[in-house]
Amino acid sequence: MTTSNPTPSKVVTVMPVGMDPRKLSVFRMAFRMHHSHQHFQLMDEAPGFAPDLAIVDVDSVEGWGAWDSFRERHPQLPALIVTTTPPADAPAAVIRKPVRVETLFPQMRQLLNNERDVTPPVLRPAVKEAMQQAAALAAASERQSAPQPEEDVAVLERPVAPPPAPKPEPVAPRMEAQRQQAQAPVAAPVRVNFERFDPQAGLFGLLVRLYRLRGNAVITLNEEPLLVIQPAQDRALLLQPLTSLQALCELPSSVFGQQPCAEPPAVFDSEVKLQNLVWQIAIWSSKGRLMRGMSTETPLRLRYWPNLTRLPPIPDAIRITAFLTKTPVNLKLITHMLKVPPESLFSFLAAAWGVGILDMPLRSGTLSVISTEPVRPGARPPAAEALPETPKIVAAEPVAAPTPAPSPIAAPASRPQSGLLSRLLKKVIGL
Amino acid sequence: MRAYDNKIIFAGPVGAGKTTAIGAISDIEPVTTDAKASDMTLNRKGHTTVALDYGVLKLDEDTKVHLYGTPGQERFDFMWDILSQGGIGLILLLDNSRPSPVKDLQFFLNAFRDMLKIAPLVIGITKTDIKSSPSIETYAGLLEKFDMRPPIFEIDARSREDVKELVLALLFSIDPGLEG
Ligand SMILES: Nc1nc2c(ncn2[C@@H]2O[C@H](COP(=O)(O)OP(=O)(O)OP(=O)(O)O)[C@@H](O)[C@H]2O)c(=O)[nH]1
Ligand SMILES: [Mg+2]
Repeated sequence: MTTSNPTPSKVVTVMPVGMDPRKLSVFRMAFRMHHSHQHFQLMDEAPGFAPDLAIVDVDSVEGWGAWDSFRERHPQLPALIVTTTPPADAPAAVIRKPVRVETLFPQMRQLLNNERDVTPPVLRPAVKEAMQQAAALAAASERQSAPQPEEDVAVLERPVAPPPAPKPEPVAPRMEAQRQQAQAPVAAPVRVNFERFDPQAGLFGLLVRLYRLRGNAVITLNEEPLLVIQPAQDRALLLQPLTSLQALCELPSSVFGQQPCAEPPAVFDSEVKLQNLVWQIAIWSSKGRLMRGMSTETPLRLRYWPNLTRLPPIPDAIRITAFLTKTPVNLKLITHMLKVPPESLFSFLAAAWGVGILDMPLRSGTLSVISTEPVRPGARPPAAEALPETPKIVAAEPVAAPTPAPSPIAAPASRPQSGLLSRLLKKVIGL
Repeated sequence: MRAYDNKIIFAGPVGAGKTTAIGAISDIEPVTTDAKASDMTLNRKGHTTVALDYGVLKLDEDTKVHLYGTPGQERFDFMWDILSQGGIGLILLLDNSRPSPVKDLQFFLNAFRDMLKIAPLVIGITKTDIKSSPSIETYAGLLEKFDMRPPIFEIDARSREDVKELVLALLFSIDPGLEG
């Protein structure tokens, strides 16, 4: 699955099966130490990512039962078996223990290559057709490259990128995002026009509308079920591989439909957290473009922090969130103050809007307000309005909100301690 | 401008993962004063911290950031005040598998309210693999009612990446423009 991160090449997500925490930690270590042009990540460290292959350990107490239940759930997923006693008739490629890093990664790579040669992903005709349609659309829009209509561009400052750094080692997406945070652009900003996209349209628009309605629903593509959403359980059941949805984000609204969901499907490709799906589809749909309907003057504010450790990564997301949770700010101010690439900011705004945590006033009916809660900087409810189930100790002395932290951005030089903080930042990013 | 004592405080109830989280990022083998849990923790876990945990992030030869984990048991709460003075910020870990993590949240916000008047707060919810509710949205929605919007993430205290993210959120909460 790709994200807005410019990862050097496709990240391969590996699902561990039949491993206890101790075995898992050995694999985790191996994965962290492994560096190559292709990045591998363990699925438990990359929530929200669909697996590309599995490593199944059949030496646990479950024995071969681990393999059987894995195959039942994932009939198509390429897999490697690890065991001390390889049988002659193993149902998949086997690595004999002890597993050596030198053989593990080449084996996984080979498995993926074979898989690509022999079995193209099983996509149902409707999806295949739609993906071809998407490819055609993309090609057409490339050919056109007509000037954007006036309302589709926003004039904002873009920080000038620093001179190209030496090609970085492939790193985990989240680390990559952090690395980029560390390399803030230096030179003076220039004014650039930014493209827009319609957040109400296509798969993203429909998904967000249904997510807000909070009811179970089936999203269809050319009348065929594509995915099922269950907002109350924060769950989505995908009938197609997650990666195939990226191309579908290019398609017009007309090919998508919705149906009430009577019975959840018995067979599906994968289950993902609905919030993670909305976040990911936002990234794929926005492609670094700004939401149509959001003026550069609109004050924006995040209602609360998104669960960034578990959502698909967006570079600079922590920095952007820290800024947007403090006080309402408009785009002009954000791009001026935070020297982050506008593409990250726009993807982030689309994702935050998608999951319903972005507060912004209505503008000419183009974007609906997300939250009914007005933005109340500094406002605090009366002490009586305590949290539910308030224990006595709190009821007696209501929770004190911390005084608003220092102004969002102070010139680094003016803070006696900022030297310490920025050194700590560097240290932590490098951990 | 407030002067920082170079320290970050990890707080939270018994078993929330404070010792583990400090160990995940510390440059030194964390110094802990864990003892076998006795009657007072009802044997929920084998070990508990009886005084405090200590870890270090070395910035250079002369500069260290100290990581302190407060003991989870309430009978050591006299230590919390001493520890929390002048810290860079508070990382509050809540164990989602405990009976009432929302009450734990209220309890600790109250216990550390003096520190929180001047220092930022970051919340890590652990053990969501064991129990997934309350969700992050539930906690965040409650805090929002009090106009508190601290970073709040699901974490596994055993994952360095997750613990790193908490510290980064703490730093950017102080200054989103901070550059490393
Ligand atoms: N399953 C699971 N276990 C976790 C998670 N985070 C921490 N643990 C485990 O929880 C146990 C308790 O962690 P500690 O670090 O000792 O907790 P503590 O907060 O220091 O506890 P006290 O010292 O008693 O206050 C350890 O075995 C950790 O490995 C998590 O997210 N999921
Ligand atoms: Mg401890």
